[in-house]
Amino acid sequence: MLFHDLYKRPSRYAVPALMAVTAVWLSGCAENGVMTPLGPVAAGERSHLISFFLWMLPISLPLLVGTPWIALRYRRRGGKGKYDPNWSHSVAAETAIWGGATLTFLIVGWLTWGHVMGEDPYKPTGKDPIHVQVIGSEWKWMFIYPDKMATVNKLVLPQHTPVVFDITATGAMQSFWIPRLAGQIYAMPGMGTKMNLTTGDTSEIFGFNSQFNGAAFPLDKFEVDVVTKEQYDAFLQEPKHPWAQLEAAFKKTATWSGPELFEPPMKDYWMKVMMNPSIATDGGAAILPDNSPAQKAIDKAINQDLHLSQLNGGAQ
Amino acid sequence: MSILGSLDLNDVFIVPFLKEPTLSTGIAAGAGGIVVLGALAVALLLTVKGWWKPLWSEWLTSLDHKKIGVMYVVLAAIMLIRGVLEAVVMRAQQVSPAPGFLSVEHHAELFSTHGTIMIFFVAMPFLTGVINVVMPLQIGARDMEFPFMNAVSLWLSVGGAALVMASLVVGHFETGGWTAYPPYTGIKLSPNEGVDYWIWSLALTSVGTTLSGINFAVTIYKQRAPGMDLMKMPIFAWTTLCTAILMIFAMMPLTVASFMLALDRHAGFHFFTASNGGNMMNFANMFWLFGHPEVYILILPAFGVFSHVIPTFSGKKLYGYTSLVWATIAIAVLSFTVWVHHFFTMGQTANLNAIFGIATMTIGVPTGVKVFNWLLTMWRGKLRFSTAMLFSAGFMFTFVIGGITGVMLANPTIDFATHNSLFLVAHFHNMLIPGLLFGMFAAVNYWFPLAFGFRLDETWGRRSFWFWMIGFYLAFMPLYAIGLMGAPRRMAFFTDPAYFPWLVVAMIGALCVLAGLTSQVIQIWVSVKNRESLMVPAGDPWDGRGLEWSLGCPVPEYDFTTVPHITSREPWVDAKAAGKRVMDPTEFVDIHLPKPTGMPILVAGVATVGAFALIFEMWLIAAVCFVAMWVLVLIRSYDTDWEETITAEELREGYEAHKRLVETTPKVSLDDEFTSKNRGLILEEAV
Amino acid sequence: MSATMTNTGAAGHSAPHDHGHHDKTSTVIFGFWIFLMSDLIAFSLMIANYADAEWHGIANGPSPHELFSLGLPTIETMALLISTFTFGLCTLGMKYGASMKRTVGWLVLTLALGAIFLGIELYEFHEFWTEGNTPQVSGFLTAYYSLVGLHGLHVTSGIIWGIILMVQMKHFGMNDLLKSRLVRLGLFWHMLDIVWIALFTKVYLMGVLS
Repeated sequence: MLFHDLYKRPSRYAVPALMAVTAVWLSGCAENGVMTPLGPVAAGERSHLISFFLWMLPISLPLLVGTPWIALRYRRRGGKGKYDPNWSHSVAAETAIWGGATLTFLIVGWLTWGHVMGEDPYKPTGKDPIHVQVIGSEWKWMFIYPDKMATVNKLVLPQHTPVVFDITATGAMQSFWIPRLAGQIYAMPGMGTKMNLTTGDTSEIFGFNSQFNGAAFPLDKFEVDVVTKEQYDAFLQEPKHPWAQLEAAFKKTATWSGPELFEPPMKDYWMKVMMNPSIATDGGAAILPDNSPAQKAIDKAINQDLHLSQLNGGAQ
Repeated sequence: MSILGSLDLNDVFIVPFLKEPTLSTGIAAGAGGIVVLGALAVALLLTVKGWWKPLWSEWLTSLDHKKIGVMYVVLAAIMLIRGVLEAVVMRAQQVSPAPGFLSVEHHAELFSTHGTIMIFFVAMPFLTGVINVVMPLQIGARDMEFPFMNAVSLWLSVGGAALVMASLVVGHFETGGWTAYPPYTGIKLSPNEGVDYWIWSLALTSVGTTLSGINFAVTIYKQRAPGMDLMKMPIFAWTTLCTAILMIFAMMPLTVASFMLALDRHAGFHFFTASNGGNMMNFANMFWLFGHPEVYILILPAFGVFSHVIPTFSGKKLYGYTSLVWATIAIAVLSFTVWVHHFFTMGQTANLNAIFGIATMTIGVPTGVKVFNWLLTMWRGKLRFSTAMLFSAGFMFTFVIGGITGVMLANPTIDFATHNSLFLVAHFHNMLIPGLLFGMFAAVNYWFPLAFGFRLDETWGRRSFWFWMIGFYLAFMPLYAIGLMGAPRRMAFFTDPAYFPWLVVAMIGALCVLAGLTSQVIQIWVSVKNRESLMVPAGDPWDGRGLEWSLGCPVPEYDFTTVPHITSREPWVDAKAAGKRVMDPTEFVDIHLPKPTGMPILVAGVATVGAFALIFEMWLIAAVCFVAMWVLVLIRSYDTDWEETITAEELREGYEAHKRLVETTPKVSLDDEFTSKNRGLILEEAV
Repeated sequence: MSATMTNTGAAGHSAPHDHGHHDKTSTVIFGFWIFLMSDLIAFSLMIANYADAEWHGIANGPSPHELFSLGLPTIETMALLISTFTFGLCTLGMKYGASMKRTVGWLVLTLALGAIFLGIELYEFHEFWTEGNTPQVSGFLTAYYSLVGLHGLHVTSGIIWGIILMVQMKHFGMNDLLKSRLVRLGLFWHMLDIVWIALFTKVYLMGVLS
């Protein structure tokens, strides 16, 4: 009945209906990605994305508009176009096509060079960056603030500050990604990678692993709190659990539900893990039979996480 | 260890469900059940109808390139149904309340089989099949150069597909996606047989594909009709040649990488392990050294198809032949120089990333030129929107959008923000659905009469197009959007409610695609039922332009009664313009065609059993199969009586019969192209 | 891009399109060439992998310098180089109508040299293996055994192939088909020789010198 009325009396329902639809779509714009950046690196990536899209339009629009237009104009029945069955070559057209495509290539290629050199994740984004060492494991992340603290699944950074991450992993290849701050870099066992970024205003966001790595992949994420300098200093002073506790528990192939803040490890722990990942993991299968106890624990963790996210109003 | 290796009762599809009935195990058991019941139903049908014998003697043992091609396409069609159904299940999973009805692993198996199947067992057999049917007819050859090897290729691909199907019934498939990156796929993290299923099904099909590539290349180099120099070759033959060369060089890295992975898993080697000096980046490099050329293996034949469908249904010569040829060659060469763009995020230097990013963009140049060429072919034409033409036009429009996002992704800094996200998933579906599937659908609708003698039903064909087209946009445009909102790929469920409306739209899109696929099944059914009224015995039902349309439909076993002399790019158009309705015969001579043989299916069958044995660590059985396979090849090498002769007299009779048929077939106006008045033959423009 | 690249050769007029054995020989050999190119890709990937493992894959195992000596590999190489020469004499003789006995004689010599090559290789594997240097020790050893082993497997199949051909020569006599098969085995054998020169240089020479 509603739709029937909608059709008959547009004036009465059209506006509210339109608003409702708009509201649904706007609520559908999650602020998790690169399009809502919180730092200069992600902002740069967004602007590259938009500029590339625009630079592609001059060469693409003729095709996007031309295909339907020519399809209509030259249709056999009712089309108005002239018929010239043997027209198959034109120097002008060849020049325009190859020239246009090449020109577009030159422009985007030139832009690419600048973008890549400007936003090399290995290049520091400022002076005296905060140094954080990252270890990705099966389904949790360890962050080491050298000599100060180690955390699990929780990354706290001061606002408007350059940060450099040293990244490695223990089990599967993973991808370290905080979309609103910077694009991702792989975390690989036996190798070290780097990422530089600068934080923006204070915010509570999250980062995650985007490379599938087994049973609890959807839980393989971490909080990222960008805070004021004072809050950051206070954070580093917070009470910590002993390192030995973290070291033992972190080795399990499992999700993390324990405490988050720990004493820092010995000085070159991260480097040792990078050289020999097996010291930070017991190994173990990342895929399990449905009825195994380990899988039951993961199912429970997933349900727990879903419960929590409902309590928090659905935010990750 | 028992002779049955690691196989045990828990691997049988129904057992986990009986032990613990959940929706997830239920779906797994149901899928296994469908495979088993489907196989039984087919066997029953064949028995009841008494079709086993004709099936064996007419089809399974045939070395005729057309029949082999058709069997390839049938394989692709069966696997396409599975691939699309998997996609629908995954879409349903993501819109149902988290954590959904599938376990994370089950979902992972689905996306892994979906990718593996769509690339290796839909796309590859589809294009190989179309090439098999059409390419020899276009260049005036009577068969592939190596018909026996051609059949071995086919049955190896079928064997690989059979293993993927078997994974539904016995054990599990892998969960690491179609790329199967170690160390996730190493023995520690993935201890079950899943990765071995991936390795050995791919090993079978990649060997088959390499052999196909050799076959195509040699056929094109050595078997062209007299006078057809390379620049007179039809574009489809050109794209086939480039595809074949890519197959020859690009399949090997996959074979090598997957064998290395197998050694890592079962012999304790250290190619890609994280410890003891292994290097997992070597796998990524080798995989994409295969994987990127593979993209062009997939897409080039479709480009060839469009280059024939569009001129035919535009009633016009192809625009820019030379341009298209050089663009094809350029794409083939450049495809080997861009593989690093699949892992810009692996931490290489900025210089390397920039170079590979820019190299990637260079491929955009010839590709863009091609699309313009097709557009200019339509320009000043008289367009008839048959199903094949609709798919071609739909491709052109949609492919451009994929091209835009492709160039965006080629910029490493943008890739950092979109890699492993649904944006990427949307991009490659945007390339492959129009760029491969639409091309193959167009090819089937266009060339179907060559193989079967009748046209396909247009009404259902057009319906299928609109379902596919609309379904594609609904299914993948939302993924672009939520990809930019930071939704990673391969997630079993999303907890962020903001993604939900987009996922619902994508779900509707998946159902639309399913409706498109269903329409195609109905299309085939209706066409077979009405085949009498769709018959085009005189051939050339669309006012075609290539040499293949000079033949009657279905094309006789020997293809050409006499091999024509080629003096131009479009000899059939010239002949028609000169008022001819058959090509002038040259000289009738005795020809030899390969006899049917059951050996290829036997060799590949033994290889498949051996591969299955390797998956479940039945080393003894595997060794026996390996030896048996080579013994069979050895037996074949003693068989020197592999050809049968068709005499010049028979060919002359064939020619005369075709000529009589053509002369008695009434001329038809283009207006009646899609009606039952079209019995084939040159369609005359109504004045 | 010659005007007519068909199997009917230069015949510009009504040349029939025949699948006769005569033309088949050259196309089969052409196809086999292409197959060998594909095979070469496998070797080049293995070499690339070896080159990487040699640098980064030593782990706790020996380095190439510690593992290799040049003595046995040099003898091995000589055996293979001579075998490629004798195979050349075999096929040349065949071309100029040498007796089957003579052809078989050269072939036997070739295969025997191949067997010597293989024997030395296996002996060396055995030595390394008993010293505890198995492929499971390090990425470098994995790469070494796989690369050299892949070549060894090729030589083995070449020897088996050669023996089968000799049996078939007895069965069929020296017909066109057998000649074509022998030529293909020759191509295969020469390719293995060329690959070995690359392997010897990369693995042993550069390994010892490193």
